[in-house]
Amino acid sequence: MSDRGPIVKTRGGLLVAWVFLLVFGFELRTALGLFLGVDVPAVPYLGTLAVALTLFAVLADFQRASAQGEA
Amino acid sequence: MHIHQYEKLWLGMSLLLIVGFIATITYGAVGVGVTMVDDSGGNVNPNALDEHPEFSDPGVEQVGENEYEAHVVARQFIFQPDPIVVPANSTVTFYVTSADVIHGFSVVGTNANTMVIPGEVSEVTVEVNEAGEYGLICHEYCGSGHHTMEGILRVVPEGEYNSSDGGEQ
Amino acid sequence: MSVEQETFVDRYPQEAELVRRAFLVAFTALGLGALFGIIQALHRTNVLRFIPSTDYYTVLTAHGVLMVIVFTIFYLVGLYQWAITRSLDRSPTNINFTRAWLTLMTVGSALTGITILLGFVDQVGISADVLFTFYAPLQAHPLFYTGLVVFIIGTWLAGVDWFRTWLHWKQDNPDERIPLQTFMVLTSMIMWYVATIGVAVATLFFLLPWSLGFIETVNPLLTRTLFWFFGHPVVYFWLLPAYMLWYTVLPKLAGGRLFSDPLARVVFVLFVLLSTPVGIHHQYVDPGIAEGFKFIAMTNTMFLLLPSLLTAFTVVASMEHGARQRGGEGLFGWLTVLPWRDPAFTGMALAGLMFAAGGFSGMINAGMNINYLIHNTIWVPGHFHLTVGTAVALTFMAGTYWLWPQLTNRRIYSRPIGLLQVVMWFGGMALMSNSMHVAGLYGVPRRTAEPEYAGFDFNTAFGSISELNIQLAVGGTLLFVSTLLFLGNLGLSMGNPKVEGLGQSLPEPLSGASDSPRVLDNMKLWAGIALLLVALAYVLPLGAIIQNGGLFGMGGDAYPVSVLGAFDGLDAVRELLGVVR
Repeated sequence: MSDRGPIVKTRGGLLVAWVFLLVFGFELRTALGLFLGVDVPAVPYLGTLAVALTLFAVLADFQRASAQGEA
Repeated sequence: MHIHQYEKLWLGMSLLLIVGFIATITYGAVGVGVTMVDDSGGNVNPNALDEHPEFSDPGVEQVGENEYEAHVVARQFIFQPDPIVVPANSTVTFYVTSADVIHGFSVVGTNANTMVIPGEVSEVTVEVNEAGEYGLICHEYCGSGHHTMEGILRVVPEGEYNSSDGGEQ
Repeated sequence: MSVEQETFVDRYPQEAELVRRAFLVAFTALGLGALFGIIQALHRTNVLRFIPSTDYYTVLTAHGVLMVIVFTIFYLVGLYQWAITRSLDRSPTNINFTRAWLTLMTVGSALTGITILLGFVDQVGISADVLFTFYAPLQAHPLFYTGLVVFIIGTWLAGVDWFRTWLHWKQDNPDERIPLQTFMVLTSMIMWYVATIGVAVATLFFLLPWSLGFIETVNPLLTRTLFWFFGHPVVYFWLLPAYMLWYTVLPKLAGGRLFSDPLARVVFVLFVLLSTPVGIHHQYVDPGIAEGFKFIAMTNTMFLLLPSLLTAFTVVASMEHGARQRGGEGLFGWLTVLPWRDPAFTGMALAGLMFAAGGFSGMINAGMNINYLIHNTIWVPGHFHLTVGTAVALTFMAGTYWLWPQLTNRRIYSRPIGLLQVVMWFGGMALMSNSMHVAGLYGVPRRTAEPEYAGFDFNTAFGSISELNIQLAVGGTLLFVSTLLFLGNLGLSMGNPKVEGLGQSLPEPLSGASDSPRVLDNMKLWAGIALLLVALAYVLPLGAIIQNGGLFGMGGDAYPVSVLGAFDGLDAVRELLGVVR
C-alpha cells in the first residue's frame, strides 16, 4: 500500500534515537531522585550521557554508511 | 466485528487496570479514611461575614480534648488570622471561606488543600503532628496581587499553646 | 478515492482556501501564544523579568485562551473541513455558509483576544485578566464574554454545516457506511454540542448579564461547575483531531494501513459517551459538592482511560504493520525501518509517546484522594503540556507538514528543519514538563507570577528549586525556538513554486467499515445515551448547588479586573434598557 518503497535506515532515526535516549536518561535521574532519594548531579551526568550517545550515534552512522556502500 | 486476539488481551488488561485504580482509591476512602472536602461546611453570605458568629472574629478555639476548630477568612490578598497557631499532636478542623473571590488554601508540603469559594465554607480536618512552621498559600489566581497571598500555620509544642488568646499571637 | 495524484486543492480549491484560512488563524494564535509562553517561563522562574508581575496574569490569560481555544479549535475546524470534504468526496451544501461560520468564529476570537490584550494598556480601562477559566466573581469586560459566545455559536454552525453535508451525502448513498473520517467529525461534534451546554448557560444566563450589570450577583460555585461541565470535554475536543490524524494519516506515513476501522469507531463513541459526565473531577477539593458526586465523576474518568489505551494499541500496531510491510524484522528491529527522517511521521510518533507519559500523570490527577497532593500545583500544567501541549500541538504541527502540500500544491520549505523542529519540541517539553511535575510534588503552585514566598521555603527531596527553574526556562526556550522554526518553515514554503504530483491518498484499513456493527453509525442513539449520562452525573449536584447557595449566590460583589471607569460607557445601555443598579 505504501507509495514509497522500503526505506533505508536514515540519520533521522539516529537523531530521534539520540534525543529519545537523552530524555530517557534524564527522566531516569528524576526517578532515582524521587523514588530512591539518589541525587545525581545534573550537569556532569547529562554531559557524560550526551557525549556517550553522540559517540554511539557516530559509530552507528559509520556502520550504516558502510553497510549501504556495500549494498 | 473482528477483533484481533492481541487486541482482546490488551482490552482485558486495560479494564483490569481501570478497575484496579478505582479499587485502590475506594480503599483509600473507605479503608484508610481519606475523606473529600464536601458540602458539610454549609453556606454563608460573603458580604455578611462581619455578622457571622465565627467568621466575624476568625481564629482557633478548643472544642474537645486535643480537638480544635480554626475559622479562617481568605480575602484579597491575605489570610485571617495570620499566623494560625495550633498545638502539636492535635486534630484541627479548618473552616475556610472567602470574603471576595475564589481563593485556594494549601498548607505547603501537606495534603491540607482546598478551594475557597465565596458563599461556601470548606471544612477540612487534619491531624497536626510535629511542631514547626508551615507555609500557607493561596493556590488559585485571585487578582493582580495573587502571588503575595501567603500565611503561616504555626504548630507550637502542646505546653506552649495558650488557648485563651484564640490562637492569635 | 479520487484520482491518484490529485491533491485536495486541485479537487476542492474553494474548500482548500477555507482550510488554509482556518490554519492561518490557528498559527497566528500559536505564534502569539508561544511568545506569551516564553515570557511566563522566564518570568516565573526569575530568569528574566521585564514585565511587572501584575501583567503576568494578562500574559497567562492570553497564553491560555490563544493556545487552547484559538489555536486548537481553528486547527480542528480546518482539519475537519478537509476530512469531511475528502472522505465524503463532496463539497459543503452551501460554501457561503461555511465561510459565514468561519468568519463568525474569527470575529469572536478577535473580540475576546483584543479584550485580553488591552489588559496591557492601563489607559483604555478594558481588560479580562480572568485566566482561561474566568471564575466569577472575578469579572472580565463584557466584550470578553461576548466574543466567547460569538465564537461558540460559530462552532455550532460548523457542526450544522457538517451534519448537513453528511445528510445530503446519505440521501445519495443510502446503503453505504459512514466513512471513517466523517464518522470522527460527526461524533466529535455531538460531544461538542453536549459539552458546550455548560459554558453557554454559564456565559449567556449568568456571566454576560452580570458583567453588563443586569444581575447583581452570581453563584460562583454554580458558574464554576458549569465551566467544568464544558472544561473537561473541551480537552477531548482538542485531542480528537489529533486522534483522527493518528488513526487515518499516521498509518499511511508509516507505510501501512490502519489496523481496525471498527475499533476506531468504538473509541470515538466512547468519547461521546464519557467525556462530559466527568467534569467534577476538576473540583475534587471544592466545597459544596458531596463526596458521592466526586466519586461518580472519578469512576467515569477512569473508564475514559479505555479509549486512549485502545488508541495506544491501534496506533502502535498500525506503525508496526507499516514497518513490517517495509521489511522490518525482529522484536524491536522494525522500529529502525520507520521513516524517522519524515517530520510528519516523527512528530506524530513522538507526540504519541509523550501522550503516554501525560496519561500516567493524568491517572494521578484523576485519583480522587491522591489529587489533594497535586491540586493546583504546577504539576497540573506539567500534565497538560504533555497532553494538549504535545500530544495535540505536536501532532497538529506534524500533520501540517503532510497536509500543507495537499492544500497548496507547494512543497514544505525544508524537511530537515521540520525534523529538527519536532525533535526540539520533544526535548524541550521533556525538560519543561519534568521540572513542572517535580516542582508540583514539592507544593509549588501554578498560576502565579512569583512562586517565592517571604515566610517559608519549599523543601525539595532532591536537586533544588533553582535547578528546576533552570530546567523549566531552558525547556520553555527550546519550545519557543521550535515554534519559530515551525512558523518560519511554513512561511518560507509559500515561496516554493506550485508543482504537480504532490497528491497522496489515504489507504483503507486492514479491517474495514463493513466489519463494524451498524449500530455504531447510529448518531441519535449515542447522542441520547450521552445526554442521559450527563443528566445522571450533573442534575443532582447542580440541584444541590442551587438549593444550598441560591441560583444567584448568597450575595457578594463583583471584582472586575478591569478599571472601573471602563463601565461608564455601559451606563447609557443600562439606562436605555431601564435597568436600575
